[in-house]
Amino acid sequence: MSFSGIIRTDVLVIGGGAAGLAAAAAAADVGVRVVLVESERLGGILCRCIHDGFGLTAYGESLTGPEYASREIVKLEGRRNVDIIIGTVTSLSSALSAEVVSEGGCFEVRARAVVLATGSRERAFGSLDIGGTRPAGIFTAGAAQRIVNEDGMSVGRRIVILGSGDIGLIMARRFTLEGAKVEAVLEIAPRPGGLARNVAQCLGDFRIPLELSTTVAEVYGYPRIEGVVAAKVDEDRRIIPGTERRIACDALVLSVGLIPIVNLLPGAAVDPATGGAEVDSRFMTTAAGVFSCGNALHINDLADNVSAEGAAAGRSAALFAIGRLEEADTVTVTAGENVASVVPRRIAVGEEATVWVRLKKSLVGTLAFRDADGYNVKDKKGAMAPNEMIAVTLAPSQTTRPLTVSAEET
Amino acid sequence: MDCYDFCIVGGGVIGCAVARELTRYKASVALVESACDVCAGASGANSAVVHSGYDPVPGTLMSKYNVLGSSMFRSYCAALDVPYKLTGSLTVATCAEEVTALSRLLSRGVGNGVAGLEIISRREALELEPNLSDKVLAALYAPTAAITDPMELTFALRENAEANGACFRFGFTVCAARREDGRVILRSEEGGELAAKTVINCAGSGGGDVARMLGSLVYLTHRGGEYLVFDKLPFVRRPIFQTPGPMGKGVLVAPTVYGKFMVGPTAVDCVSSSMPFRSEAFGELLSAAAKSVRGLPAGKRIAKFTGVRALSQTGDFIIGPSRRGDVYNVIGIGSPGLTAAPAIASAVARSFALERRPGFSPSRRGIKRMAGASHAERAALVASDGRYGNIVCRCETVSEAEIVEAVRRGARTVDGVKKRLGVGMGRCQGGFCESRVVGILARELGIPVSRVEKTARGGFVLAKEGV
Amino acid sequence: MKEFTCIMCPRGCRLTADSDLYELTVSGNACERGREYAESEYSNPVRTVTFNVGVSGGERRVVSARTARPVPLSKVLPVARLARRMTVFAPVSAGDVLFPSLLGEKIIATSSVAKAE
Repeated sequence: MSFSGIIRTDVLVIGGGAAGLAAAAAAADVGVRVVLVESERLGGILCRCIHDGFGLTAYGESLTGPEYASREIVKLEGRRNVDIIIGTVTSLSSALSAEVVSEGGCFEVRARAVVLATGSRERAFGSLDIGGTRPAGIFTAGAAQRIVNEDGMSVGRRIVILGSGDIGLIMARRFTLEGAKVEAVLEIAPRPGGLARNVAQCLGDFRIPLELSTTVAEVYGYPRIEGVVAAKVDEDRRIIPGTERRIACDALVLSVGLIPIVNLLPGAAVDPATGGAEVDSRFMTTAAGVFSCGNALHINDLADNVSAEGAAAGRSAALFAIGRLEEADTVTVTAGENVASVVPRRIAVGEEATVWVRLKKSLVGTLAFRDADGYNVKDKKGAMAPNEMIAVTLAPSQTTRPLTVSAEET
Repeated sequence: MDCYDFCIVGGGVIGCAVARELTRYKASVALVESACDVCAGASGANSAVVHSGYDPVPGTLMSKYNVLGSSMFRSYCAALDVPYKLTGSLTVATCAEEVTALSRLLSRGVGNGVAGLEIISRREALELEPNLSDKVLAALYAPTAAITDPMELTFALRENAEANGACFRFGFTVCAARREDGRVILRSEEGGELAAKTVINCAGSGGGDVARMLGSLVYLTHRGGEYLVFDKLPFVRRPIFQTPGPMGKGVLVAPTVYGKFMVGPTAVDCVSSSMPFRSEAFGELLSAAAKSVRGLPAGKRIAKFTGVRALSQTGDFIIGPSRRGDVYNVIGIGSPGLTAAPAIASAVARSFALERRPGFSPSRRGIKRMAGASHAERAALVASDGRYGNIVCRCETVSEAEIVEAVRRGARTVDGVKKRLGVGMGRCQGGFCESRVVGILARELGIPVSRVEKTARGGFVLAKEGV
Repeated sequence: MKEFTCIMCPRGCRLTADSDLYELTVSGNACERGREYAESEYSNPVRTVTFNVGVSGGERRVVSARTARPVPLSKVLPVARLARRMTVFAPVSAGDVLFPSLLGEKIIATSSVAKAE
């Protein structure tokens, strides 16, 4: 049976992963009509994250990805004001009309507000300065995760992992548990990219070597990969001649970064620091009525955080849809010393707001929010590192003036 | 053993074009190819430019077939439903000597019969291409240059040749030849044999080997070119060449018909038909390109590839019958081979003075695509087949139905699907869709997923079973 | 003596734990949480093991699963490698006990797999 035509809704949520599920539930809680479009499976990337560690904040226990997903999906079940469509949104106009392509038909969804919860994509082999052949056997970590965890297939028996992002670390453990040998995890930076917990429990537990300041210079073998040439790099990440050595492998797995998916964003500003949309503290992008959250907005390290963002964005979208999100003056938050990115960039004056900060380097000291006069409005002390996102909640009294956030070493 | 009037060796754009051209006549035509699909070599790894023809030395086969091919290309692509975009090209000069060289190129082009060439000022060039570098002083504008999709063209030629009766045999690597009763018998490494009255050698990078097996003493050299591909961005509107000089032809910056753009090629002498991408090529290409354009968005790079061309020692194409008359060589087809392909194929086929076959159909329709279709067209496609509604490649909007159709038309590998539909050529480079493509290929080909290959025989995407 | 990198905060202290049978000494920690971490990692490190189990007759080839409780570190690999050779029959529902005792550990499904159509 085929369906075409126009569906009207209050809120359209694009993406059914952690962010989208929470956004849809929160919007539905406001009482508006919600349409959620997911391209494959509800739960999104959570379905392939069979490891535990999800839900520590949201549920107070350590759940696996599928378990976390099902708790989020249950929140949408039996809701009369939520419709779920398995299909792909191919375009979104600034008038908030979306084209949805599904096996049941190709139709248009017209919404009063849209939540973009489209997640991120992985940096691919083609964008890296790695020479050599173009063989079979090179995977991004997320793709390998899908193949091994969802499809029950295998990518190789002797594996080199380039990049120590969290997915790469988690896959190093998965490959090991599946009986493959992880020859090495190579990281071009002088410190690991992923969380300390994952470095300890995914590599340390299994004595998988982590080589820092090391990259893959070349791939060899054809038609299937036979190995990589690993090399040390200097502070500017240039290969140090003479440090090259061959590592034989039958698969190369890349965990070299995630990039927010913003291709549906209808003409709204993108923050070059995060790669995601520029939003205010209500998660609205610079396109009126278009909201963004989760990894589509900025790369998070915890799914619980993504859900929290999704819920906040979903609620804002619902209020916008029914004209109850009052327009507010905003103040800017600017990234200062040692700060790589800050989300949101604009805060509604006099409203409580959570600000997420990523640092440029590891340090022990103070993360301070200062106004134009240098007055410290709010701070957070302790050890901080670029691989962990820092969340700071500002009280209504602290969001009245433009702020600069910087990390000061003590 | 099957015996054909003609057997073409090599399923690149030249071989496929010759096969298709021969089906216009009363003759039986076979094509043998070592890979599992056509377009396995240089035809799928080049600049995708339809050259205007100012560059080849006058009087050569290159200049003749380039200019002729260029003039045929639009209608050729229209008949075969292949993208063709008349963009014109610029050749930029960045110093006084190069400005002088431009006028030599202009007069050479006029001599070759290229229409509309003119030398334009920096200001005029900048109006055409705002991202030209500060070094550009003047440019040669060639309005007849165009861009196309050489892979789609090669597949289209195969499909059209097959529809007109040509027989394609894959996994046939010619390793020996003998003559029996006025026929040439080709033997393959894989163990098959095939007889033909005339063999047409279009074996690309293997052209020299095949020629020698058939008794012509021809040696070809191989030159590899490395390219970088950038994400969809209106960075340049037309191919931008550099002025050829003593240091080589320079690199071009060229848009593709799908809105991406590429930088390349380098020119590296190599020994085999495949060449790895050299680590140093990244820097070489970026700094070479900086001569013609500024602000190249390094962060938008999404892919890299290399292509190897076989070149003759004379510097010209080798096109013609061997002394014995039963072998016809079409080899040493380096650049501008793609542009020249329609003209070469037509000339080769006509040289046999065969009788026309009524019923030849020159047109072929491409796979119906979701990408670029209007909302109403998409709705109609999905209504006709629900699998059109299952979008597999999000970056390029390609559905399951299109992949199934690509397999029906001959795709056997992940790259076969990729070259036909662009699946995995987008910014995610297959990260989201490769395993889904593998699943569809396995189902359609009736093989286990672990036996699905990426590019070539034995290059399995997944490991065998379990980990 | 054993060495660990503390995972309790981004500071990543290098911890050393040593025991002389009477007393466990922890050094390198900047706070009390670090001491607790080192003590548990030294005396009895445990992990929840997550893996896939093969499914026969299901719409998917595998179902995700976990141990019902954290297991000693030394048991992680043996449990996972045995589990990947096991197969269950579809349908499977999240929360089902797949094996009551695999090397002494209860194995629970963490997702559902329906029967193949």
